[in-house]
Amino acid sequence: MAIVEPVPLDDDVEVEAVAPAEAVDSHLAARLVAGDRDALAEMYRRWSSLVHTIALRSLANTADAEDVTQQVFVAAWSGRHTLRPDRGSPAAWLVGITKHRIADLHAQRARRARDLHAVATAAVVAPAVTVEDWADRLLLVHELERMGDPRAAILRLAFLEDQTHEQIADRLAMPLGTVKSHVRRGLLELRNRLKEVERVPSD
Amino acid sequence: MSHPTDEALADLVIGEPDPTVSEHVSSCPQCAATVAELRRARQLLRAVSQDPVATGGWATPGPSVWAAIEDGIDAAPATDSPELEAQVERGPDVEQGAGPAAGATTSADTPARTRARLRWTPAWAAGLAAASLLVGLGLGHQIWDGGTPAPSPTAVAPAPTVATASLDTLDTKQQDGRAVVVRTQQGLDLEVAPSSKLDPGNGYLEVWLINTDLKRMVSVGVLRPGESGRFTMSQRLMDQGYTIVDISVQQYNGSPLHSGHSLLRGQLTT
Ligand SMILES: [Zn+2]
Repeated sequence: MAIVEPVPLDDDVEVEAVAPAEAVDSHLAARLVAGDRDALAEMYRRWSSLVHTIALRSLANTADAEDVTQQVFVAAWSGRHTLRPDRGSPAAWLVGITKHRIADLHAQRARRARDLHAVATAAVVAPAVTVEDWADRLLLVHELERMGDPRAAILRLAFLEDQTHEQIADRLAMPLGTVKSHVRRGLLELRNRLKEVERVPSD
Repeated sequence: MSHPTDEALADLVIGEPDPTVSEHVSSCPQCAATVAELRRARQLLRAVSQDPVATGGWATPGPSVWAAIEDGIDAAPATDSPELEAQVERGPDVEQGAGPAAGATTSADTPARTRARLRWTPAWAAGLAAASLLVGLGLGHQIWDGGTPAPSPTAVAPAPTVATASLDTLDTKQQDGRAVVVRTQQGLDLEVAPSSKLDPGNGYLEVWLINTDLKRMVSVGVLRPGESGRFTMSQRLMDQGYTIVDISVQQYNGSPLHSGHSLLRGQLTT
């Protein structure tokens, strides 16, 4: 019988204490994957406004945005086996699904526009790049909201208010090194969320 | 030359640049891509303070949307079957490996009871909520069986064996247990039987299936010290190479990840 050497722990299995909010999210994700419908209801309570706001900003139409919100959660249920509770947040996963649905709707609108008015009106269709940005930007705002302090407070000062690390250290009476380390780790965390969105496959 | 750490790359973006790191990035596409991603994350937040959502201005969908979602789910075929085997088999082939193999179950379950039990938190996820796990263990293992003692494996007809593994200690390579994959009506079960009582110290024991690529792994459940465990797994996991059985000591720190501290391990062979 072959004995396997201890697993080299790569980035994905990095041993790091998980923030409580993250642990709660993974727990919720695991319940969804296991087929628990209450978990979907809970996800809807937590993230329907994130999904809906992204859709509304991208589509500029409440009825279409509600359609997308509905489709996203139905797709989340039927595609729950693609959620990976051990890798990343359910919010990022939902945002990934949202982006695909919105892109689909834009494509439909483009087709409809072509059918109705031929090529002349095709330029009316909103460029897809704004969808990307809205979705990702709103997800990051959401992440900042749920991140615990002091990291959230530090990141808000650093990124939203463009304060220097020294100013933040003064204001929060924290060592400069601690501030820098929170900004660094926080930025990496935000970037990871964006990568998770990217990983969600379109169906 | 080796790549700088992610932290060092982040420093470039948050205004603490190191000339050595900058120089590396200018000639390394991979690190340059990471820096671009970090920069984009930073950039996306720059104008946000003026946005209504920065002060809680999120839009809420109308009350009819949730009802429509429930209708959509009810209309979808076969969504109420929580058998993980079926789910995994049906699923599209997208990095499928880490679909968790669900909670522990026992061979004497009726299908109905198995279903009810699978609605419980998969045992591996239970480790996340350290408090509830502590309570569960304290109250007679309620996490996976609602307090019912697990029936003896001898009480049921022997199930066909699909694969077996000798579980050996990592330090001295002594055989100290066995793992068997058996076929059941629902799919595949993994039985894990250490020969001696494993010591979890202040933590608990968790069973994993590690991929033969030695990079990916899934948690299949929590093992009680001094007992055997039976867990749901799937043919898909086997096919994808999740065939190394591993028992680790995990701490109650809320981390869902492998602690890196394994006691026993063995390769399943058919
Ligand atoms: Zn590099």
